[in-house]
Amino acid sequence: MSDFRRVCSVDQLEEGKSFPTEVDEYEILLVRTDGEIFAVEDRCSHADIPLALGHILPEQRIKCQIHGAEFCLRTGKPLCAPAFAPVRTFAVKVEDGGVWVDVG
Amino acid sequence: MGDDAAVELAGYTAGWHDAGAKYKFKAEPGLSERLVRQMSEMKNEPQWMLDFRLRSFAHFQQRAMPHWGGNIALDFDSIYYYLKPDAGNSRAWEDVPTDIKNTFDRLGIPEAERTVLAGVGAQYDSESVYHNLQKAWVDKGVIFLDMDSGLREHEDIVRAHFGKVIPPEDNKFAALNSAVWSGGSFVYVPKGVQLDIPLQAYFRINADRAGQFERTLIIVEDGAFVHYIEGCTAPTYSSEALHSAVVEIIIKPGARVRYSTVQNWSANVYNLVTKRSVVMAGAKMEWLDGNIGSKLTMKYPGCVLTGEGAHGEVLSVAYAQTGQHQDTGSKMIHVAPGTTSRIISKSISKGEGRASYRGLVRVHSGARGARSNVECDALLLSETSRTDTYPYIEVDEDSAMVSHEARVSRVSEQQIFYLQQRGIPEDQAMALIVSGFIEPITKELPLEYAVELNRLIQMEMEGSVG
Amino acid sequence: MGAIAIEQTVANGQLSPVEQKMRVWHPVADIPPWFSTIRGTARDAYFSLPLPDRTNEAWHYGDPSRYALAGLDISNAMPGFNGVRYERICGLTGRPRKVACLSMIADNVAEISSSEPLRDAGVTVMALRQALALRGDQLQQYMEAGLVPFERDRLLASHFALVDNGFFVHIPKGVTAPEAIHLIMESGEPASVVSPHILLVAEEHSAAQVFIHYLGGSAEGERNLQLGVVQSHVADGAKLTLTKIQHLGVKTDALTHEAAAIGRDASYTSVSAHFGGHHFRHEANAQLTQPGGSAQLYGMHLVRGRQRYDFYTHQNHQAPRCTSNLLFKGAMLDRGRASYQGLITVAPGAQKTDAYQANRSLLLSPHARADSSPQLEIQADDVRCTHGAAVSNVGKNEMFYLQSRGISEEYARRLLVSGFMADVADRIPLATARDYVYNYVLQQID
Repeated sequence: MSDFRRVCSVDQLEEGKSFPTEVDEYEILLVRTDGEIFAVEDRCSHADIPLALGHILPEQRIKCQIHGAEFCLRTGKPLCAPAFAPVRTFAVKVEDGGVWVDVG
Repeated sequence: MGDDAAVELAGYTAGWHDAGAKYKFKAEPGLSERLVRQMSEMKNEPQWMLDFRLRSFAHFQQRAMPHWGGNIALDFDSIYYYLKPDAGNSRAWEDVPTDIKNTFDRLGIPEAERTVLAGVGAQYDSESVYHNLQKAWVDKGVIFLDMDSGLREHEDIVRAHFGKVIPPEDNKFAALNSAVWSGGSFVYVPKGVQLDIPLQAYFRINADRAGQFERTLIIVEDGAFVHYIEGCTAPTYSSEALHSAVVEIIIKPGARVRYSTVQNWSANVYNLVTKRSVVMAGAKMEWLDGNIGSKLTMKYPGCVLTGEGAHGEVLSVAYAQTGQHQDTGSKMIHVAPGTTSRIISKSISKGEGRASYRGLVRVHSGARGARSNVECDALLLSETSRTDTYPYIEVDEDSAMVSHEARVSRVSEQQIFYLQQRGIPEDQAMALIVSGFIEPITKELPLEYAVELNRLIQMEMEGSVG
Repeated sequence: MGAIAIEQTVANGQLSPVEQKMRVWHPVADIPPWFSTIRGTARDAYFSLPLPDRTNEAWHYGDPSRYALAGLDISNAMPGFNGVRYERICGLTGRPRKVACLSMIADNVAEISSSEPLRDAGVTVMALRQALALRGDQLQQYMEAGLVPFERDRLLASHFALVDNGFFVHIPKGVTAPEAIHLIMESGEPASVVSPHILLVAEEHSAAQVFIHYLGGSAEGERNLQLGVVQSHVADGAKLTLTKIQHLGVKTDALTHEAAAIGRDASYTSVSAHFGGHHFRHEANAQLTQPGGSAQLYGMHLVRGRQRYDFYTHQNHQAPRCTSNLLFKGAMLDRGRASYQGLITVAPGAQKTDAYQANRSLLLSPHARADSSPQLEIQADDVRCTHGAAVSNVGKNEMFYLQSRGISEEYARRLLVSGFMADVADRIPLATARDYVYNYVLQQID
């Protein structure tokens, strides 16, 4: 069951940067890169460090700041050690200048 | 020291006969990018390995020391990371402490080995023994080389797996090892090969047993089995204050690996090790970890259970006496469904020794039906002994079952009295009780280790009562 | 607002209304000077300390930024009891007209009922502000004892900087309080922070039962924060039983710190049930500094939805022959998450210590999460110390057993969860409160 929530306006997202936000009990990180907007859970699966502290890498990847784990922003898949479990991803749509995230 | 001065390599040399080779580089303490580049050049490594070392060095520099664990009082700038000055390395037999010599006697260590263990320079000539054993595994297609040779002769396999289990950013000491590693073992076991003779790191050791920054990579293909043994129960002298090894193991579906370690480093050593294995579907990893020596050991052999039905196990014994801190444990990460893990940790603290268990059991969402059980038993032998338990249990999967139990106790007067009544002197009674305490683990060790370990305990218990 | 943002606002001089008031606060005449000194020291500590971070072991799992003062002000609500609230209180306390019952909202305390037997026995139950004015000298030794170390802890410092009122309970030597004492804490108004301080003193060989009820306010409006401290001084041979039922509102974040100084052969029992609040952290510290002391700490919690609970306990054995026993049980539903961290310290010389610690969690939904880290630091050898932790769902075998006897899946789960909580819930020494707890738990399970 979809449950799209408006979390911010498109203008608030800078290319190549991440934008942490909270919806209900979810801590979600929005990332605008390569012309798309992705939403992942703001928590590295390795040691729960917020991915908001990390870096956006080319080819739609995000790298955790402390231990260097990388995840695919689109699928949430872990791309290198020390992460071996995925991070949760959320569907994103842009409507009327706003960014909506599906927390259903 | 001039540029022409002969230097010896710290750690392992590339081949069996290369001791005493002359190099044009100067030995100097401290770590720098220049040293890392020199080292890689001397070893004639491919560009990707140099890049890996440099990236690791950069991370080591900016990474903070851990805010937990033992007290690490090291001056990083005064350590020799690769080249060491000549004739400063070994010591004379007269300088070896009497109690160490006595231990060799009691343990029945052969003459030839004693000098090597005690750090008294001579090279251990085990070539003939080594070659006989070598034939057994070469016939089965098993590769067992020192890591430098492994990189040279099997670059593709190494490149595909090196740093994929433990990245340099994992922790500060993994970063250090990743920058200055030298020696260690490279093991590759082909599909379906069951190696019934254990592979012993012992035979890879050359002149200086220091083995400061060993890097080991073990790859076991589907359905294969290998038992790898590292270290030695006998007291092992090292002139080096810092030992920081990294062991990575990749276990493909249905395969099994047993890795046994007993370390008895001299009391000046900081032994900071990162060991981890990735265990795929239906595969099994068993870590047997015995920590007797060193000033401080921080070591948490771990398993990442990535395949369905994977199993990981750690059986750990730690002994800490005055001046020692054993901070050991395990990490079990459950990623896939049906995975199981078991940790049994037994520790003994004597005098003012401190034995700490530190462990992590983490079950990710999706690891359906995961099961984990941890048991920690600590025995305190003196009023001044210390034990700690720091478990971390993180469960994100509602169908998992995770349990942890820890107990602290001491040898009861009743137990001693009972044995004394049967004519056993007090210190022998102590030794019996302590041996019984760790028996669930020692019975899994290779026989010689178990025998030596029990003899060591006997010696330690003398004078431990009263 | 996260920790980074808070640091920035302070750096930018953007203090919240309450912080601005803290900045300009100065002692007033009718408060004892020693109390003003505590408030001033705490205020200075607050502005000079950073929020704890993950290198602080006690905050391995919790999120300190959730208990920050950003965007908050002091509330001026007055206790005005409407019928619904009064009935709820009666439901909890059982005998509304007969027990001693005080209620506090914002910084204002009202007496709901008083008990003649308690008064006749010489038992004191009064607002803290009143006690400071009338019995300042008596309170001084307890407040200055340093049982709650705020100088190094920014969050506790914020409590002591803001503390204005609370409750004071005093049981004289040798007296067994003939009635239970009920203290009620209510959630404050939206966007407000309250810092209630409860001081319980049981003199030598006295005994008493105290209940603390944390009630929720309106569910609407913005976040509000409660920073509470309950400190108990249990003198030699005394016996204090404390029961806490926490059912704060969904918009309340709360940090409660419970500390007990336990005397020679004295006994401190604390039973608590936690259900409400959004971000909730509970710290419990049992100081066994005299031989023969006993600390029994029982807790149960149920988290669901957005709730995030975080527990930190310390059983501190500094003297020989003391006993401590801790059992914390939690059930997690929806995406609820709770973490438990606890330390048993046995100091050198604390021989013949008996210390136990157990944390058990039930994960009842696919996305619930439990973190557990019971820890030991033992430096005496003639001791008995064990601890355990377990996380699982309700047992498959047990479910099958009940369902095969015709019990519906829903009902079977309810039975098992309430059975799971029983060894904590059954220790609540008042039937009405026990019923409240069981009813709530059963309602949550479906």
